[in-house]
Amino acid sequence: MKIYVTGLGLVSAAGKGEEETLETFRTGSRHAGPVTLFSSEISSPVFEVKNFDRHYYSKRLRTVNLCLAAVEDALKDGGLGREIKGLRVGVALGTTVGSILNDLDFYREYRAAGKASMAAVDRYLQGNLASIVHSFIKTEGPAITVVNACASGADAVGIAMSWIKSGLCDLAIAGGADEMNRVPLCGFGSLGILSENLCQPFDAARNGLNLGEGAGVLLLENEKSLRSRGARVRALIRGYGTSNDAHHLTSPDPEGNGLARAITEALQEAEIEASEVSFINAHGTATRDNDLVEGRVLHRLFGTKVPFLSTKGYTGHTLGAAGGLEAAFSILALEEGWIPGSAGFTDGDPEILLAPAAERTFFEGGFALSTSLGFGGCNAALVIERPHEESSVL
Amino acid sequence: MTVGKEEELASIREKLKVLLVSNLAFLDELDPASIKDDEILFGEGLGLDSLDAVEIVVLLQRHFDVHIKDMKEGRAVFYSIDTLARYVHENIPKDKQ
Amino acid sequence: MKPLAIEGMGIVCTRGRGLDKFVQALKEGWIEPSLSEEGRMAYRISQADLSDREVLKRARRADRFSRLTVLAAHDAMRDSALKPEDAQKTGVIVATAFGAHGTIFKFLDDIIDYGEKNVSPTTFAHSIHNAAASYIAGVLECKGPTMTITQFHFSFQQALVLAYAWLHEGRADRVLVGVAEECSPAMEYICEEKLSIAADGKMDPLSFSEKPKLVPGEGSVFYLLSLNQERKKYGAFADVVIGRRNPEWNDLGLSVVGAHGMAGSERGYANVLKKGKAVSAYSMIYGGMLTGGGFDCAAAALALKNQELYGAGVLSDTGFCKTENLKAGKEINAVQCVSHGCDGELAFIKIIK
Repeated sequence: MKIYVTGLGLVSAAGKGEEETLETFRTGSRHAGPVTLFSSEISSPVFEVKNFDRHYYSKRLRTVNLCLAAVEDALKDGGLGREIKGLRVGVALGTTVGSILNDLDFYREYRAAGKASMAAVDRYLQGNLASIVHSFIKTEGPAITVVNACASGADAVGIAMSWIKSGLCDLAIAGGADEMNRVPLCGFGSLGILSENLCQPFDAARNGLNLGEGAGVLLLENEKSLRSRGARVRALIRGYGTSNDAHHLTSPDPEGNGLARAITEALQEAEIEASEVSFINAHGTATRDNDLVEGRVLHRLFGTKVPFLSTKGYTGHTLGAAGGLEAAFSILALEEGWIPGSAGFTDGDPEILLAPAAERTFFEGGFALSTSLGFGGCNAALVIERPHEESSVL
Repeated sequence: MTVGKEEELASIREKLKVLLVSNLAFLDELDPASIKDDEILFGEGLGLDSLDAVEIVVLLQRHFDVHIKDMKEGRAVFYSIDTLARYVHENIPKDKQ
Repeated sequence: MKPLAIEGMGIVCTRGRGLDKFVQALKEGWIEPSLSEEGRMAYRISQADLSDREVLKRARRADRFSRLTVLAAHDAMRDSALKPEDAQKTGVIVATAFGAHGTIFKFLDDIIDYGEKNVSPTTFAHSIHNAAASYIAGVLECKGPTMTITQFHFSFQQALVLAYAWLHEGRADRVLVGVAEECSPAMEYICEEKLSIAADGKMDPLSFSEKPKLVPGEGSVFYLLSLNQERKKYGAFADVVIGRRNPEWNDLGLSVVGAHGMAGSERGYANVLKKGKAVSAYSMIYGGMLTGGGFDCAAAALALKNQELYGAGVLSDTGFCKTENLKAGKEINAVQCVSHGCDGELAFIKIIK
C-alpha cells in the first residue's frame, strides 16, 4: 500500500514555513544566539523561533502553539480545513518537553509553601499534543503522543504509516513539536554535550549540540482518501524502520547495529537498495558519540558516494520535533533537487570515514533517507520518495 | 598550625567516597569506608560508566567548585579515588580550602 | 482486528508483585491505603516489592518509575516462558499518563538547590519518559521497536492498537505492552487540589458519581502479546473501540468499569452498561490511575482464565448486577473493560477466552 504525503507544515529557527526555510538553506544562514525565551545562566547558543506569534491556546503552551501552527499549515497545504468529514484521521505526534509537568515556578512555590497555584498544572493537563490536535480537528481515529526522546517525530510518522497500512485510518497528521525549555537545556548541559559554540555536525572539531525548537508535521494518506478528494502528492513515505540498541540509557551502541537494523528495515519496506538512495538527512547532532556512530554506520551501508548532511546546523536539535522537521526538509530537498551544505561543517573527522556535503549539492534520483537516534537507544529511519509525474495528482 | 597536604588529601578522599556512595547507584549497598584509596573507578573496580563520569563532574562542581573543562582530561583524573582526590586538591579554589 | 493472544502477564502494585497477589487482592477487596509523611493517602508500592537484585542488575540506576515498569515487564516475559533467544524481535510499548514525575520534580529540586549548571545528568536522563522502555529493552534484550505513549486518556488502549499494527505488519513478532504510573508527594498534592480524595480511604467506583472519590495509586502491569493463538495463556484482546460508539457486544460474561476517580463525572458509565448483566470494578484494589484500564484488563484476563467473577470490595449496588450476586458456574467467554475520557469519548476493550 502506498502512503502519500499531501501536506507539510514546518516551523523552526530556519524559517516559519517553506519559503523562509528554503531561503535559509540557500544562503546557509544560521539563526542562533543566547536563549531569550527565559532567563538562564547557560550561555550555549540556541536556535529559537523568532517572532512566533501564532497562539491557539495560552502563550505559555508554546509546544502546543508551535504544533498547531504546523498542523494548520499542513492541512492547508493539503487542501483541508480543520474539519475533515467522512474520513478517519489519525494523529501521531512526538514530543519530549510537551509531555512533562516541569513548570519551575509552580514547583518552587509548592516546595516553599506546601501549596501552589494550579494554573501551571491546568495548562499541562490541557496541553497533551495528540489530544489537543484530535479535538482541534474533531476527528475519529487513533491518536498517540509519542515520547521517544529524539526519535519521537520520526516514530510518529512511522506509527501513522503503520496505522494506515493496517486499515485503522485513511489519513493521518504526523510529526513532532518541542519548545525551547529550561529542563533539556540544563539537562544536556549536565551531560556535557552542549557546545559553547555553534554546533559542527560531523566535523573533526565538533564538541556538542545546540538546542533548538520547532514543529514539523506531515499529512499522510492512502490512495482511497486521495482519490476521494483529489490532492497534490508531494512525496511518498516508502519505508520506516525502528529498533532499540538495548545497550545504554544515554550512549548509542558503539557498533551502531540498532541503527543499521532500522535503516535496513526501512530500505526493505521501500523495496529499494542502498545504492538507490539519493541523499541522507542524518541525525547529526554534533556530539562526539552520535556523529561517530552514525557516520560509521552510514559508511558501512552506503559507502562514500551518497551525499548526506545534518540540518541541525540550521535548526539546532529540536528533540521531539526533529524527526518530523527533517522528514519535511527531505521532501523539500527532493522537490528542489538539492540539499544545502551541512552548516557548521568544515573539516572531516578521519575516524568517521565520511564527510557531509560542505556546499549546496545537487543530486540525481528520487529517494531520501532520514535517520533519527534517541536517548534510550531508539533508532528510526524513514525512506521518502519523490512522486513520479503521473502520480502527482490523483 | 596548618593541616599538612597528606591530611588534606585524606579528607578529600573520604569526602569523595561518601559523595560517590550517596549520589551514584551501586548494585549493592556500599560502605564508603570499604572503598580503597587506590580503588579503580571504572571497569573492574567500582564498575562506573560514562553516565557516572558526568555525574562525578557535577559532584566536583557542586561540592568543591572544581571544574573539568574537557572530558579527555577527565580520563586520567578519573582513574582512581586517589587520582581524583589529587586533582581536586590541585584545583580547589583558594577560598574554598 | 485479529485477536492479540496474551502469552504472559506481570503486575506490580500496592497489593504486591505477582499475579497470585493480585488474584488474592481481587478476592479480598479493599484494604486501607498508606499515609505519607505529609499525611496524604495513597496506594503505594512497598520498597521490598521494588527490590530484585537479579532482575535489576542491568538497571542499577533505575528510578522508581523505571523499576516498577521493568519488574512488571520482566514478570510478563518470565510468565510466558519465552526463551531469551526468541525475544529479539519483541517490541515494547509503555503507556503512561504522568510518566516519571517524581524524577522530574527531583530535577527541578536540583535547579533550585544547585543552579542550572550543577544539575544531575542521571536525574535528567531518567526524567525523559522513554527511560523505562529503554531499561526494559536492555534488561530483556528486546531489540525490536520501543515506544512510550504519554497521554492522559486511553494511552493503554492506543498502545494495544499500535501493538496490533506492529504485529499485523510484521514489525515485531511479539509486543510487551503495559502501563506504568508512580506516586510522588507533589502529585498527591495536585490530586488533593484538583480531585476529591476519599476521606475514609474507600473508593466506590460503582456509585457512578458526579464527583467521584479516589485514593491515588501507582503500579505497572504488562502483557506479552502475539498473534499466535496457540501460545495464549490468559485469553486474547479481541477488539479495541475508542470514540463515541458503544460496540454493544452481546456475549459478555462481565463488564469491568474503569472508574478511577481521575476523569471527572462517572455518570456516563451507567448509560453503557446493561441491567442484569454482571458488572464489577477494581480501582479500589490498586488505586486511582488514569491508566487504570491496564489493571482492569488484568482482572478481566484472570477472570477468564480462572473462570471466576471477582467482585469483593465493591461497595455500591446501583441496580447493576454486582458479581457477588451472581451464581457461580456460568461460563465466562468474554469480558469488556470500559473507560471514559473527557469530551464524552469512551474506550471499550474486549478480552475473549
